[in-house]
Amino acid sequence: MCTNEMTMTFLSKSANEGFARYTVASFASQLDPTLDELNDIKTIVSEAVTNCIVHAYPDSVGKIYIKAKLFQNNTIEISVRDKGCGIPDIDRAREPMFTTGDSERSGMGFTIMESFSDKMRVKSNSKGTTVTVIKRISMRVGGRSLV
Amino acid sequence: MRIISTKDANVLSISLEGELDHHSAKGAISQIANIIEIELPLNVTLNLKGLSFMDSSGIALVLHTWRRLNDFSAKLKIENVPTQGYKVLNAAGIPRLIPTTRLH
Repeated sequence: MCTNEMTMTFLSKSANEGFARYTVASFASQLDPTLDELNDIKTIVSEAVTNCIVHAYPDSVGKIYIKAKLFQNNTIEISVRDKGCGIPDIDRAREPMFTTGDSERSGMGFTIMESFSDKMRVKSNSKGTTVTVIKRISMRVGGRSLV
Repeated sequence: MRIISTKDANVLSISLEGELDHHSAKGAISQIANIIEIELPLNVTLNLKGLSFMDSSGIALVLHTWRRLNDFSAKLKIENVPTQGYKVLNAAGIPRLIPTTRLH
């Protein structure tokens, strides 16, 4: 059961990468994550938002939509959506070290998102891309209760 | 993002401070390339102690620097990598390629 939800919309400017990861991490802090779990969430969001900026809107500025949901079983679901050009070959894009970006890109974005989360889904067509990740936050003895 | 370089007889030490993401990576990569171009060192240490955040842009920065140093047979070491950054570098197998030590 979803216990809390937030949405945010911002422009695909690289200056917003930090803002996006800190906002989602701040929302996720209601699940009382460890510092490592919080860092995982920041990293996932940073990779997803960078993909939108570099690949979805390569020659323009568009909007990036993030929705985050907290669930009673101490998981967070984060969806990062764009209305960009889409990914022609998702399987290839998810391969480690594959990139169509410049030399300052490593091609490791999807690999990092996948290994830092518990589940990742990518949906893409010519109208845009949605990346959804699910991250379980460990229950801690003496930790805060969500409900 | 702040980059500070110091050189002693044999080693050029480059310290990174702040957050390394796509927003800061391009400037950081070219700044490091410029330092290497001027100093032409034989040994370089990237000190990541001051990095409060690093995503996969850090992998690109490390590989870029490593390839440039390989061009003239110089050696690279990465030191004091914070836990989060180490996890990112490890996902790309960087510690198997370049000597890398964690921050303790």
